[in-house]
Amino acid sequence: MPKLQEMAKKKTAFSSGHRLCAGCPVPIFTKMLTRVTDYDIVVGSATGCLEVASSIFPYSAWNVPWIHTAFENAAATMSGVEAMARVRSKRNGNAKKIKCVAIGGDGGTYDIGIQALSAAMERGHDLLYICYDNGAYMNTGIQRSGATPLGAATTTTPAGQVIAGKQQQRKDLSKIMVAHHIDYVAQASIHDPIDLSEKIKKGIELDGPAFLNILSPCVPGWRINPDMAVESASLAVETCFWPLYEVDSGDYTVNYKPGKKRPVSDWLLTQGRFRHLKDPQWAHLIDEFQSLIDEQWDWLVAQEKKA
Amino acid sequence: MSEKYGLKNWQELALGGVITDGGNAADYETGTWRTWRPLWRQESCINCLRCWVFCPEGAFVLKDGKTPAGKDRKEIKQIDYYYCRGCGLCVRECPVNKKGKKKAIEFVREET
Repeated sequence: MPKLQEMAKKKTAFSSGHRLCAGCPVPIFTKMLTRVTDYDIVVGSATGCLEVASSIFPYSAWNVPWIHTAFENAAATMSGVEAMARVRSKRNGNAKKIKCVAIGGDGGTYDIGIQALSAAMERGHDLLYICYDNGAYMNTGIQRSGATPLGAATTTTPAGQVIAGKQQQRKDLSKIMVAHHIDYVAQASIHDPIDLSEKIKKGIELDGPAFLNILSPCVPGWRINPDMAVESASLAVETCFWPLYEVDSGDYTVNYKPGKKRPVSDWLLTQGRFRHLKDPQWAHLIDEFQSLIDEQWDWLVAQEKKA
Repeated sequence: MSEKYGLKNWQELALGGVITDGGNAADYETGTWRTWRPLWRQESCINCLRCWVFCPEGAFVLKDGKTPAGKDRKEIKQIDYYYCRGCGLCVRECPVNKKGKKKAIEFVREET
């Protein structure tokens, strides 16, 4: 693969020795940040696994300027940095542009940070916001979030005899971001490094706001083996739970269409957080899950045809 | 803290807890977490770099090499066990391993 060879020639933004769990796939995209682009970047992280594990004092895993912000304001902080960089380059006639990247987990993006994110996107800052979606507040001990899928067991929505995990379906943040009419919105997954690197490159190099939602399986939270993260993400894409698509100035493109759509149970039942769904009494939940996915997939394909 | 980081007291810390030495997490050894050890075999490796791109720890060390046609390329040199946590992602994602018989990365129990 020539693409990986090109990336291998460049220095990484993220050093070894960080303290994310063994098998956590988040560094797959943080290592790429400087490898995909020639721009100088500044990164800001919302509170979350990545922020906590990459900056345990006095160590920092970041080889690029990096700012730790609170849970809710990664987008607000980075829009400030972007505005500063813009004014400075205007005053000094500084030709080299700085690009800003904000990174948040699903808790810090879907729930707590959505107000700051929405405002930053609406103001049109030259900013790429990356959300790594692992489907719960994994850092604080697997509490449910807006991104937790239907039926998943978390510590705040435990599966028992009466209730089978989370009762609500997940929020579709990518669609919310499309509704902001920004230049670029995309969904990517850590199992496909080529697609992922192209989307990160596009998001960083674009002059304007961009949002990237990356599916990032969590070893303790999804209750999977440490070597399963990439395979689990790949299954999520094969079953169309996590379609890979991009919306470029309003035009939808589906980047990957599985030849044969696999039933969602193939993905669900490999994870411990959905283990209770094997019980026949919850079989209807799997059907409900499947119909939600089918509906979403058909809608997406129809959107692409329109464009 | 004072001896380890060469500071006399806490007043010598950078204002706001700023870490001025970027990427210094590389000094931190995470290899002690390992209970299983991946063993990389050069003779079976097809140099696709999938292990390198997926390794969460960045433990695959690269070196300059040449393709059979004589072009410059990066090749896997070794696994850095100072960082490798033994998650096994490389073992599972290796396309040579997936095909069956020969293995490019083998997973063995760590000797205690």
